Amino acid sequence: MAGLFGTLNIATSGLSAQQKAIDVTSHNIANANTEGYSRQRVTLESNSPYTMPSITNPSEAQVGTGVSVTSIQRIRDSFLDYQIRTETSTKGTYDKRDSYLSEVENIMNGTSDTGLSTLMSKFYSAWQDLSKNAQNSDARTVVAEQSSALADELNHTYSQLQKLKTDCQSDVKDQVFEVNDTLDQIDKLNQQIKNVKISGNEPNDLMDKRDLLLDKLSSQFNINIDKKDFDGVDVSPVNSTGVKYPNIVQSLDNESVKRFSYVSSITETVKGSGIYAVNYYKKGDMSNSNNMQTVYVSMTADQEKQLDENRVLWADKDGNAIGLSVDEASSPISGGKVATDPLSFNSIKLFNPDNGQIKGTTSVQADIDNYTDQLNKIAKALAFSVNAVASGQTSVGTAAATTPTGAMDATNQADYMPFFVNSDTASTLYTTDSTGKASLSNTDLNTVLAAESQITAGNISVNKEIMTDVMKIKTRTHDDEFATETDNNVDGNSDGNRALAIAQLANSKINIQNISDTTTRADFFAAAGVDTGWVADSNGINTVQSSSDGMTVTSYFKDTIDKLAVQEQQAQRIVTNQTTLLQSFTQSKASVSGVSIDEEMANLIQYQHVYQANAKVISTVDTLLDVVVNGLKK
Amino acid sequence: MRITNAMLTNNFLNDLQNNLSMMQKLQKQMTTGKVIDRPSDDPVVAARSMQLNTDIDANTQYNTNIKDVSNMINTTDTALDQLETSLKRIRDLLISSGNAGYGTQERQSIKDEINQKVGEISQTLNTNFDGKYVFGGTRGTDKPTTTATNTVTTVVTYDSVTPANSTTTQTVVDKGAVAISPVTSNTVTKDSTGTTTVTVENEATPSAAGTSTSTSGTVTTTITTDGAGHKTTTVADTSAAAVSPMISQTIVTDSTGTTTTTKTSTPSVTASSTTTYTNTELAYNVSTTNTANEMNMINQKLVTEVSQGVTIQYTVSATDAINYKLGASTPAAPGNLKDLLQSIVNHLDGNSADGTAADSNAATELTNSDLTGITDAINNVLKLRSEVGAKSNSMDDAKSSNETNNENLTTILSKTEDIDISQVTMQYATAQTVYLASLQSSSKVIQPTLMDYLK
Repeated sequence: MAGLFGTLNIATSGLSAQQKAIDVTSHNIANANTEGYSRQRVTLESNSPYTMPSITNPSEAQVGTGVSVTSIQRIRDSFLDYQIRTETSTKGTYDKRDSYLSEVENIMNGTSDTGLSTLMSKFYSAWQDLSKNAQNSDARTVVAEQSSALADELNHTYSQLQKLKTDCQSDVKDQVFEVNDTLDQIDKLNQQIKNVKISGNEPNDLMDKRDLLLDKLSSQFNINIDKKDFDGVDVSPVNSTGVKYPNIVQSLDNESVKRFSYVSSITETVKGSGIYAVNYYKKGDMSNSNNMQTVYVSMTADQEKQLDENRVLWADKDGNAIGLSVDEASSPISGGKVATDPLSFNSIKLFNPDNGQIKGTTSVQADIDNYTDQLNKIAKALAFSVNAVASGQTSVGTAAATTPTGAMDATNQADYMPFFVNSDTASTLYTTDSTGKASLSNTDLNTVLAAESQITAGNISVNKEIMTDVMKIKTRTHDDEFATETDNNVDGNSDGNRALAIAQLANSKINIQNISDTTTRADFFAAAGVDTGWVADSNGINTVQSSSDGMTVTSYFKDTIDKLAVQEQQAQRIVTNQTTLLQSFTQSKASVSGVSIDEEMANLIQYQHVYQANAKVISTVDTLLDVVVNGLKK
Repeated sequence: MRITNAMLTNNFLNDLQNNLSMMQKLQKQMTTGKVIDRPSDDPVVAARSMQLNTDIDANTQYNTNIKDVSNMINTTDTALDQLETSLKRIRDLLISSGNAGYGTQERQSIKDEINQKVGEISQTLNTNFDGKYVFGGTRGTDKPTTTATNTVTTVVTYDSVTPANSTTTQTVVDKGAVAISPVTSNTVTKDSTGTTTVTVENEATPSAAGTSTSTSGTVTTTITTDGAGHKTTTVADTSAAAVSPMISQTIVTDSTGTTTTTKTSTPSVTASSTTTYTNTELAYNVSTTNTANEMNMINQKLVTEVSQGVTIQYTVSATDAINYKLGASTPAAPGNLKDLLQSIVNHLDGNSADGTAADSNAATELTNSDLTGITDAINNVLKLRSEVGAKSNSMDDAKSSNETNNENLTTILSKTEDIDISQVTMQYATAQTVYLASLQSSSKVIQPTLMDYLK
């Protein structure tokens, strides 16, 4: 028999157990609004009974010795965590796609009254008006200015898209930096959790923090989590093609893990050589120039594009890119230090997750490139068709040293007055006379004509010669036979048949889809190239023949906008769906792990009452002791 | 399922967001009046709306083209009406000139009035509209015609050495005439046997040397060419009346456009005399250096597009009005108003049609060939007017079909992208009610906890 002091101890154990339970309840209430917090529960267990050995009465009941708290558990459903992380990755992809594609949509300005589509209509209308009033310098000025406005809008849209791509890349850089930072934090927590666990405690709050960070990481890319001893985890990306040991957080040997680095620039050493200087910043940290590494890699243009659109490299713990600076075993690689000893593209280990914000941001770059490419095609189709009809020349030709003054003969056929030119080349070549009229020498003209094949949406512009002297626009029936408009003595000055043919290009279906970035005007009309037909119209002007497979420039632009709209709508729809899905998972999680104030209050009252009852036991024991100490002997 | 406070809060916040975004979307629709704000809202509507807008833009441009063409056509019609009035007046004058009681004096007054009319016709053909000469073809900034005052001087001298011959030299200075380079010289000789010999000096395009003879009935034609630009055509007609004395006529046109005609014949004039006539002549306003091209420009019609792929020629050229017969375009072709008017004034002067010699039949010609000519010219103008009228009608049709088309397109566009105001207003009201209800119910669910009921 343990006696009264034993009873006192039982009551004391009850008091402290209830107090601990109240502590946990209070911790729960305090963290009711904490992100990532899982409610905790005390596990109470009765203490081992005090066995009283007795020979005379071996069957006497065992007497309990009170209660103790065996553990404090967090209530969490790890399958829900897995589901949430998977869906968060998918949502991450489309969140980024949605935000960037809606930007692209703003830039392309498809449906507004001030967008490219309207400017194209105005451009052709201006040519229609010119065809009726070819003698009129007003009508000519309107054509020049409208064309210039169209070219400017193309330039502007192009540069906005380029800027957006740069923004994308800097976003990728920030993501890489953040991922590396998150990984370091997870690693630290992982080790702490193990230490706590080894010492026999439950690291509930640390695990909550780690889970929160893993949730955050899963929005960047989808991850695999392997549980290890003592609640440690190994984390690796789901897609780790080409990397042998893809763990980015490791429970054991936590130093030999992978990190990511960011490629800041790719420049070809000598144009056309296929050897590129690749600069990357270790772990995406651009705050310190010492972090920059340069490696020479030999790539094809397609591979360069792939690297340009991805830009995230697998790296070792210190950020040295795998395959470029170090091998998998972290030993330095000898090649790639100089341009003469380039590494092959295959040695680059691109980090290419299936899902997540990194995937969203990198994939949207390909789309931006695609839309830029379509704009370039529009610019080229415009330039080639208008220039060809204006000059009657289906290839740029080579301008003679002196411009022929009469009708051109077979030896000096060339486009002496291109309407659209490549401003990258042309802008520096003009000379301006005292009246402000710009002109090109015939040598420079040939340079400009040669650069016509490199026209893009970024550099298309109206020939400055025409902008400064609108009378040089070729509008008349026989203007194709003369180098310059002034030499034509065959047609009257209100002859606008050529201008009409250009205006009618609005309805010419061209195989725009076949235009590539190397297409020249000759290729544009060649059967093996874009295969644009060349026939005389009802007024005898040679012009573009509609192709049944082709589309008009405006409808091509519409298709582009349409495709963009569908892509953006898809992104929005998936974001909405994923948000709903995630909401339901989050609700399930909140249902399992969330703190219910009512419940906690009920528990609190329960614990409070038990605490009070224990106190009553002590006070009763106290009375009994008083009887024993003061009452037995008088 | 266990319900926790966070669930209620999350639910409330999510639903609140949904309600607000719905309201924002409806509000955007209400304020813009459009179903879509950006293409991704509804790619199908966006594509359709862009296509319709492009079509409407193109159609509006065609409408402008049609209006411009209509204006041009109406101006042309007015001008042709004036031309008709002028020509009719000339015809009336010609008819009155046939009055047997009319003498030289009256004919001179008629001639003065006709000279005035010639100026008037030229002015009408130079009608300008919207910065362009209506009849100028593609040469829109230069007047298509001009008038020249011709002074015709006829000098008759008596040849004393060979009393049988006299020489008449007539020099026509035609300001509107086309100069010829090199100078050409034609000599026509008709001898007493009835043989006519035409010698062309300085033929523009020399033919190869040789002689060809062809006989047809009583007419034998011999053409001798020496290859150096000299061509002699001899027509021997045995049935022709012999001319005695022999007549020889040489016409020289020099590089200044001056034509000199020298006639050698037995004197029918017994005294020397000098006569000067002043005529107003209609001429094309073309340069001497680029004549053929410039005539071509006047002849060209202006073209515009009135609906997709449909182009029409909408001008009438000065040549159409002037060449009332044969439809020839060259200035010298027969049946042109220019020559006809010249012939009329020459006839009124009592001279031959080209004004080279006095002609006793001149008065008769006025009411014969000249009257026929002017009637033909009037008919030609009437024909042109009916063509212009037909074009004007077809433009009216084109305009109304264009406007119907535009209306249709606009209606479709409106149906495609415009909101149904009453529908959206109702939706908005509903959304608002739902929003208020969610606020109210949430405020009641979230507020109370067990704490409220504990002491």
